[in-house]
Amino acid sequence: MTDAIVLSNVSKSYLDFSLSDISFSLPKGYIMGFIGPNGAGKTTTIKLILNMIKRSGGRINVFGLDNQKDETEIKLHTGVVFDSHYFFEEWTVKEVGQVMALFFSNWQPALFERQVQQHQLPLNKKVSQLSKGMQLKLMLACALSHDARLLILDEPTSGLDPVAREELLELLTNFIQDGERSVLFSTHITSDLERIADFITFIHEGRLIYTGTKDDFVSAFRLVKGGLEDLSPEVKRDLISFRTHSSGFEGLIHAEKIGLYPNLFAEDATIDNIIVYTYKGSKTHESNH
Amino acid sequence: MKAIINPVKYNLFLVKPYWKQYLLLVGFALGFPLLMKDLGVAPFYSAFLIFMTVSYTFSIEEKNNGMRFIGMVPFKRSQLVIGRYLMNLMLFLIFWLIVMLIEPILFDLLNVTAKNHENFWQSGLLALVYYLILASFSLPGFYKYGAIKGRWMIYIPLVLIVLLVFIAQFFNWDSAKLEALLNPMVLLPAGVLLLILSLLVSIRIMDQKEF
Repeated sequence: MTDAIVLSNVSKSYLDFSLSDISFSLPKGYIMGFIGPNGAGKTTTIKLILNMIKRSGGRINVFGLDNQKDETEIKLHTGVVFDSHYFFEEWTVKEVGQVMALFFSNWQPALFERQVQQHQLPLNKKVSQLSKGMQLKLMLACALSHDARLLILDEPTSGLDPVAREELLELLTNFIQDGERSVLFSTHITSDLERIADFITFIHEGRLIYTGTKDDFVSAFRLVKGGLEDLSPEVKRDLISFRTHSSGFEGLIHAEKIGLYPNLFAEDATIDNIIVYTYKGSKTHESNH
Repeated sequence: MKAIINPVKYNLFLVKPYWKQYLLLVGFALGFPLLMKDLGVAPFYSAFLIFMTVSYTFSIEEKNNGMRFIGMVPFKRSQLVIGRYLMNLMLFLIFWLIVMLIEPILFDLLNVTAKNHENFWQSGLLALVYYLILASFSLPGFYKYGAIKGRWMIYIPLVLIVLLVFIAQFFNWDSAKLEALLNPMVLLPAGVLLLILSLLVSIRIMDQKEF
């Protein structure tokens, strides 16, 4: 089985930020949630995959092809949706379709028309006159009109109303149904991922924290709660991070350590909990040094 | 072939909403020589005015996050650069040809006695060279620094021309020497070569560019 995306020890250095040793793979037929706080390196990673920026080290394969050597072949079968549109604002929806057809030899005008109708996009309206949600739908319509085998979405749901978000999630679930197509989905709205992602890749400050199945990710951590008297130095040491309130504390702990503290109340951690407490933990760690 | 023609069409789509500005510039290019009653300057007006539109595609892309669009389409960067060069050259040639064909007719129709009418086509060819030089210097600048920050590159050929005039005056070059130097038949192939060189530089800049 060929993976849709494979990153091996990928790095990228800037003066003030570096992405180091990122490795993960997205198997065909699955959705991967790509998560991390702002500035973690998600967009940088996506730009590296698309060869919009050059990697400093490592290897990136898409559909088993090298992303630099076979860039055009890869992009022919990749649909991209960013957090904001990438079209010339003076173009109408119809013109967007015409321009896309210039670049994608596998462009299917009938499919684009169907997508446009399905999303109720007005053909003669300019891109600048569309709402943010409509602009996102237009990007999606484009991404789905050239037989894409891979969808890369960078924060697509930010700014979308719940109905539009729901539609998008349904669309992504349908997209991978044939087992041949995959989705890399970077988002802050982790409740979306709880519902549709099969895999999670979590990066923080340019480093890979976790990559694997969503279920393993969530079950690797537990959210613990207790009274202030339970917050012993040992508990503090083992917690990834915690916060206190007037009557007690709440924190994140590695699941294998929960057995050490039977007196604490433990519950399943959400993806949000894991991101927030990991981020907080790294900040505490930084300030202690 | 599509790999070159389609990027040209993409660039035409970018400037499509600005067709009125293009017409206005052609109007100016046709109008000024009439006011000055000088047919010889007409091609230079057209060259300089039309040259002002070269940065349009770059500024449109800058304003519209166009590099992200470029980043996701399945085309080689070199093909996109060639497309832009060809589109600019093509538009210039069309407008240049309009001016070259219509201007003398306008002078006749309006009964305007023209200065320098005998050098009209020679001026036209020199204007073409002038455009090629301007484009050769400015396009890599736009690719490297963007439409606004890269504008200073336009001044390089202007400075070179002023320098040439200064040298000619300083050394008291006679008209025969100047004519030999400004022979369009020599300058035109040199201008084309310069544009090809400029294209190669732009491709290299674009290949190394990150967006």
